[in-house]
Amino acid sequence: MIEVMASLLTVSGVGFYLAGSIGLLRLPDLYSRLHALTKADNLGLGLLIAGLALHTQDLLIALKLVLIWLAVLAASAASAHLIAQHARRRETQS
Amino acid sequence: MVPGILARTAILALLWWIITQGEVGAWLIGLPAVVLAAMASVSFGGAALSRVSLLGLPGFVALFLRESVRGELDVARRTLAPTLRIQPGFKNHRLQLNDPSARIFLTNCISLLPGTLAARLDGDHVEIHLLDASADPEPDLRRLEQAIARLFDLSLETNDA
Amino acid sequence: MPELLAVSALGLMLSLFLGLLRVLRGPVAGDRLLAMQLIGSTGVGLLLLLSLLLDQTALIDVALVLALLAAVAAAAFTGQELETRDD
Repeated sequence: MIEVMASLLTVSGVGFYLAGSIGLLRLPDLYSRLHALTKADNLGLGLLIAGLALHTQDLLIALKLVLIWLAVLAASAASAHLIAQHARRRETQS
Repeated sequence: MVPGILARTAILALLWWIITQGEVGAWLIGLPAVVLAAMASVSFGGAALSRVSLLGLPGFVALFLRESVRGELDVARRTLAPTLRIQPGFKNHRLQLNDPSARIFLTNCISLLPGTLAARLDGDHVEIHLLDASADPEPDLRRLEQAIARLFDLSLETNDA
Repeated sequence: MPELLAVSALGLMLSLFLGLLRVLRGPVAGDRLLAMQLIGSTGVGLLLLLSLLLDQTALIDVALVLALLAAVAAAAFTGQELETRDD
């Protein structure tokens, strides 16, 4: 049962990664593409990590995986904000 | 300031323990690093972070996870549809949180939650980019702000402008 | 389960490849940078998956370092590179 849950979570995580990459290619402008980035990091990696954590059944490793997720979240939120702010500033200047 | 250092040292030590997966020898590097990092973090400020309320944490985490899944399903449907169903646009949101670190935390959450992206933080306004500008993001943002206020044990500015 | 993990790893590699297309296309430095960020976090996911698949826990540490460096990269690039080479 846990195995099935773990597999389901892992596969849906990969699915969101792919959705994010497809969004990156299809979306028309920089800001919309930034949406694809932060969302893949949030749910793609989040679900993947949830699946892997269930699979290892080792609390310490699971906690470490969650830490990695939080680090990636912080990085992607910060970089999305920096890129958007930078682009916005250029736009309103010129 | 001393209790601040102690609490931070404890939290950082816990992080180190998780990262090294309980490896005893690693404390040789870990202990000095943890103490130095705690001192550095105190000198950088980060006042709101030390006020995280354990009572507000579950509510915030639950809201964040629920909104992530709900929003992402919506965004994925829009971006994967044969013809893109998006209407990108900007909207302004007036912040009710006063604390500067809590505001930064909020803008990061806005960016991470699907459908919204905090493009610019300017005083007490935040410029938000929406994938679907026809929707009204206000109710969701209000709920997020309330959860963050509870998380950091802050009160919201309630006078409407 | 191992088969499933392997298929998932392939899925992530496909995602990496799609991200590279956006890096090539640009058009502005911001687009390339955000695509690199996505590639970075796909890499983190891939490393974690492989650590389980190959039973190499050291790969988790590699993923951790990659995750931590991602933040530095974004800050450095927006601070310096985008200012000068955006067009």
